[in-house]
Amino acid sequence: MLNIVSRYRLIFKPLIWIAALTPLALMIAGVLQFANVHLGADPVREVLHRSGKTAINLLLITLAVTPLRQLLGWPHLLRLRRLLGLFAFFYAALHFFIYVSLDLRFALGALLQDLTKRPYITVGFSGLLILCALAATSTQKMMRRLGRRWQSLHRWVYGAGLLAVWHFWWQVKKDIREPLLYVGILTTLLAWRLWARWRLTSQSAPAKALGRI
Amino acid sequence: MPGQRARVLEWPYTEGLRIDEAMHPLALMVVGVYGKWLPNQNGAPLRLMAPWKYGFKNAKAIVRIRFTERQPQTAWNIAAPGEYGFYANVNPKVDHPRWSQATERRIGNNFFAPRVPTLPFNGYANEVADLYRGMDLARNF
Repeated sequence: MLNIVSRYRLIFKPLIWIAALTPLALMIAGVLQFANVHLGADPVREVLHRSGKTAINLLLITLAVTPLRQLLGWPHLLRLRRLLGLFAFFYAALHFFIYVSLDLRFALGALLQDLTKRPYITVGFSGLLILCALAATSTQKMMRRLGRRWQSLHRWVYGAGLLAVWHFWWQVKKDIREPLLYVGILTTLLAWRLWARWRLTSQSAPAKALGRI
Repeated sequence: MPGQRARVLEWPYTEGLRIDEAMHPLALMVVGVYGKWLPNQNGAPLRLMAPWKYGFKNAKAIVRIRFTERQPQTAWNIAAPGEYGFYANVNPKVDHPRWSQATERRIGNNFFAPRVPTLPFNGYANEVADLYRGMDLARNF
């Protein structure tokens, strides 16, 4: 039997790689019209939407790691968080790249205009900037170098989640059911943290010390 | 129609044209597309097609037509009056409040084809611009 650390390294992480790269593989297959995979009438819009949606999905999954490890009592889940977060960043960056390249054709003037004139793009771009900072500081080395500040910096991921969902909401024409679902999930994930924090601070000092462990 | 189970819009979907718009030779009632009968998802059996207007004006699966003395309310105009007007003429100079409408991707082009500038009245300005002479098209969007 593998011990828990090897199980994460040899089984769970490769599975995440496969699952997280599947949307990309399907998009590439669609672009190449390989194996009867199609992207519909407006393929650019389709890959744009899919990459963005995948980024939000992965971001929410990343945000679910902490609640799940505590609720299920699986502390080792933490080993998957960075990988999930980096995949969220990867898809957000891909989403931005598709928008700048296939949609805007690298017209920087149009990009600047969009960033300043179209609030939903401003919001989405701000979220991407946060994810960039978090991805850049995700290494062991950076964790060690930043010390205590690392955690406060990485709390910005909550902001990134809010901005990402807001960005999605703001470009829906009228049928807000899907973004509403995302808002619900994000709210649950963030509310759980507030609740956990409140429970910790409202406990007596010894229990608090225990809780920190 | 599956989408009608949710009250995203006021169902039934309603659209309207001015009588002179409706009488224009380019305003068509269509039963087919690309040489074939209209598929259900494209609005079978009968669909309006006013090619100089944005797509939502082209009501699908028409079941009733009424002639009214006053300008009727239309589904998208009820849902978001600041974003969708009664006329909905294609106009690259008038942005949707949340996004630009100056350029478009042509459906059917290859994946790497660039966006092209959107033309006033979707390229039918010579035919239909007269219908709106003297009107402020930024206000009557």
